Amino acid sequence: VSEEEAIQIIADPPLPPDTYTLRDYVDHSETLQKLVLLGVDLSKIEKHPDAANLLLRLDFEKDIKQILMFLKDLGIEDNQLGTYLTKNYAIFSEDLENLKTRVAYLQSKNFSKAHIAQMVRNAPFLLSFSVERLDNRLGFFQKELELSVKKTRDLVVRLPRLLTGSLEPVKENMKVYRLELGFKRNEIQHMITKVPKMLTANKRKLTETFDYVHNVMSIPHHLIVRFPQVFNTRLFKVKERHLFLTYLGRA
Amino acid sequence: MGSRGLARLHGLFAVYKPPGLKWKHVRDTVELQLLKGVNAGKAPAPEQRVRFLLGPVGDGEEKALTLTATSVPTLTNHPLVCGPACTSLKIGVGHRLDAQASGVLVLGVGHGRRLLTSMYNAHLTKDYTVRGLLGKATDDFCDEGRLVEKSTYDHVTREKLDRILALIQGSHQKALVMYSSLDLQTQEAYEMAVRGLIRPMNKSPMLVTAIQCIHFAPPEFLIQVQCMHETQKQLRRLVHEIGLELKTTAVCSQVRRTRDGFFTLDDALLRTHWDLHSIEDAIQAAAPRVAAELERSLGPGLGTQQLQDPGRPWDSRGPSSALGLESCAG
Repeated sequence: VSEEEAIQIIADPPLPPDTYTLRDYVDHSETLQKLVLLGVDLSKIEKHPDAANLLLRLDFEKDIKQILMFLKDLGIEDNQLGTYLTKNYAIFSEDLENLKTRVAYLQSKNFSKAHIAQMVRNAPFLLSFSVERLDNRLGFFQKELELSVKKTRDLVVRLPRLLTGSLEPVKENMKVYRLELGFKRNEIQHMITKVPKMLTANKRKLTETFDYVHNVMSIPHHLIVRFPQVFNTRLFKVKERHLFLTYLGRA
Repeated sequence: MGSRGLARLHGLFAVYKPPGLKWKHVRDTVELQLLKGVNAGKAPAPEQRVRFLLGPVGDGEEKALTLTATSVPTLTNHPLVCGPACTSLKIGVGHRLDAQASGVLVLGVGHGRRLLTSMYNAHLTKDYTVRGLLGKATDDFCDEGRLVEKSTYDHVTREKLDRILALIQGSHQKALVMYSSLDLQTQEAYEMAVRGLIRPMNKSPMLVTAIQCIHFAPPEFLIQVQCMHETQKQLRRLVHEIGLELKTTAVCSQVRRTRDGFFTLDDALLRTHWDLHSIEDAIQAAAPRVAAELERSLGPGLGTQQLQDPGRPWDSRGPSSALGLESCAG
């Protein structure tokens, strides 16, 4: 072996064939390096082994770049791309055509571009749902809540998690509000338009908070309807403030 | 940044546990807040690694390849690749408080956990304010249990209550002497008894060193108890037995620990102060007192130290005016 050839033999330590972290591969893979520079949190992705394998095998130039340009066109800023990709790394396995169809569908339902950008930012999995599923979900909310089209649209823009989460808790909560807590339909609609997070609240916490507010603090239903934020706050905050006010004598 | 924050985080501090929370949740919440504070520092500058890269040297027809050692920035220890620097802290809990009781809860971080065992072995007394309600009896002695019986309480007066409490204190005094395994015939033991310093230094059942009634407005009454080796359930049972002695029934509506050894309500941190800075300040403020107290309690035989005891925490104090925000307007 001549001297020149000897120099050309690169004798780095070999890459470990399998590990639990992506640390060992980061220096040798341009894809991973560019992702880290974008702001993607690899320590969270490596907890899902399939995702990590997928990311390693992808080539930055061919696949990832196109999807990133597509997301930028939608309106997601550079510094927000990192958090988005950390949550929804599966978007790299989607077809670009499918993503375009879904965005076109949302636009056909009269969601403006800014609204779509906001929804995608808040609910990263939105673009991974097929058009049928999105259609079903929107239809469900329109029927269940019996709101006008514009109000449903505003609701979904404010809390896009409704479309990506499962529907069972929402159905349960609707039943709870109607039967257990005794609110009328128009009252529920008013509260939801003000505070949409009520629909996804925990059933037990909801009943405990309502029990304290209605029975101990003796606040009637129509006052609660005016300020549905009580269902959003923690119970102990409400309790502390109420006890403080009774201590002052001003309950 | 992270390691600097961790270096100072060793010692004891007290936290105010609100009622309705399990002590384990309190400990986990405090741990999460501390982790947030420790991991919030700036990321360190990117490291450099030495890599041997091939580079062409010399131009012309003869191109020689040489290896040059260059230091190249590497991302192996970037926080986004490895995760946060600190993922768990070791926090231990002193004397536990059950879910419905509230008050001072002592926690130890890092090397301070060793002091927790010393505190346990020092067998210091604790102060409780217990609020009772006459006329009801439930199965678990507190007012949210299943009702067992109801009775009238018109015949109960303050003098009767004081008499009962004095009886209890007297009987527990005898038990104190018995469990402390001291020979009362010696002069030192007599002096200690005169100053009220006798207490058992090993395992014993619940012992009450002092008990007095602070507030009496039938059906409610408030008593202050100084005790050791107790559980909150036994305190509630004590309220129940007081009711039985008064020929009526009583349940306990609130148990509040106002002092645990040398940590008082003023030292306990409120929920709003459960973050890195306040806890570090609290640890530093409490450190000298902790050291002094443990030295005093765990070094018996040193005569000079025992003769000087300014303000021992278990001297019977006046009724504490800290009625607290959880009481209904008394």
